[in-house]
Amino acid sequence: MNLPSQVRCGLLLLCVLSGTPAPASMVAVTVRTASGAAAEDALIVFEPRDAMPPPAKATVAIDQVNKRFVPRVTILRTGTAVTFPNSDNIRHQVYSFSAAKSFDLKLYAGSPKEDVVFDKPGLVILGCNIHDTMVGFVVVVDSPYFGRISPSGELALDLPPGHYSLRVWHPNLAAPLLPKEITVGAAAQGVSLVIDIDPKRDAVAPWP
Amino acid sequence: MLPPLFRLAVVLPLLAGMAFAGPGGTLYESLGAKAGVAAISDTLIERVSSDPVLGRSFADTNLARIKKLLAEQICDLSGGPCHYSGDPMRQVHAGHHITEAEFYRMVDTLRAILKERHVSLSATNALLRLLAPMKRDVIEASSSKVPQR
Repeated sequence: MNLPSQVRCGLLLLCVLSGTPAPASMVAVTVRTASGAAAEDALIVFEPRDAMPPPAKATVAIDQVNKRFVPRVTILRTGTAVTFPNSDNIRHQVYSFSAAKSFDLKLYAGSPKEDVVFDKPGLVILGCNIHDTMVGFVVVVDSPYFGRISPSGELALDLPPGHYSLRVWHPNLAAPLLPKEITVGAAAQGVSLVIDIDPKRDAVAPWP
Repeated sequence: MLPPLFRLAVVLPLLAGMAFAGPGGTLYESLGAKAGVAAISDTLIERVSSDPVLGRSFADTNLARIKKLLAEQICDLSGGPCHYSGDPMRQVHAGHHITEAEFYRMVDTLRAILKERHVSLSATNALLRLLAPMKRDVIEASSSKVPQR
């Protein structure tokens, strides 16, 4: 977690002067499917119910490898610039019609890439005009506390103490889940979630 | 601005298209105008995408899009009322490592379709003459980096 240590200090100046790192506690989240399998590609976000940390600039990459988006599922913060390299030596034409961000990008092998800034929160579905089977998902959130669940079904984040709403999403989520209220204190804690995934579901699960 | 060689490849077919004068008027009309060109494009893409040799280059691709753009390109080249809106042939084929044998296999497939559709030999030859200059972009692009415009 690349959280600036000052962010959670009520008196920013005091914290900087004293050099005290903001306290943060580890929250280990486990997400499994109803059958007990690791919910790979599930995304989680902790939305602070108090003050939202100020925006920060970031750049992430969504590559195209063997006619697939890599990673297939990405979560990022509002204002993040996404670079779309093309590791295939054939061209791709990445597009989105989603309300949160619509664009159309021609990507040739070895060409300079222009970044796309995801400036509104929401779900963005990526496709390729040339290759039908390429589908990718980007969830854009205001909170800086988020991540993708690992292939083993886990993700640990360091969170400043406070009150949060924990949301989970997966493209094949069978039914939307209510956010889970989490209070982070001084001690580390674990959160276990079970989600219902329907791999045959045609429509992409809505966000949030 | 297009590189000089590419410009030549664009200009030559245009001249050839205008030079054709069949019984029905333009080459576009000899090919069956809008419906004929669409059918030629659809059939060609259906066949090459399911061909045991050529099919590999069409794996996972949006065939409807290719059909539409190929019809547009043939219409444009043959003097019809279209403007090809796709990418240059060199970029389209880059990275697919198309061989000369594959190029000619597609030409033969096209020739067979035109024959089935009773397109005259002169119109067939006129169309193939328009497409022939693309060979160097289709084949050579596969082994080298794609130049940017």
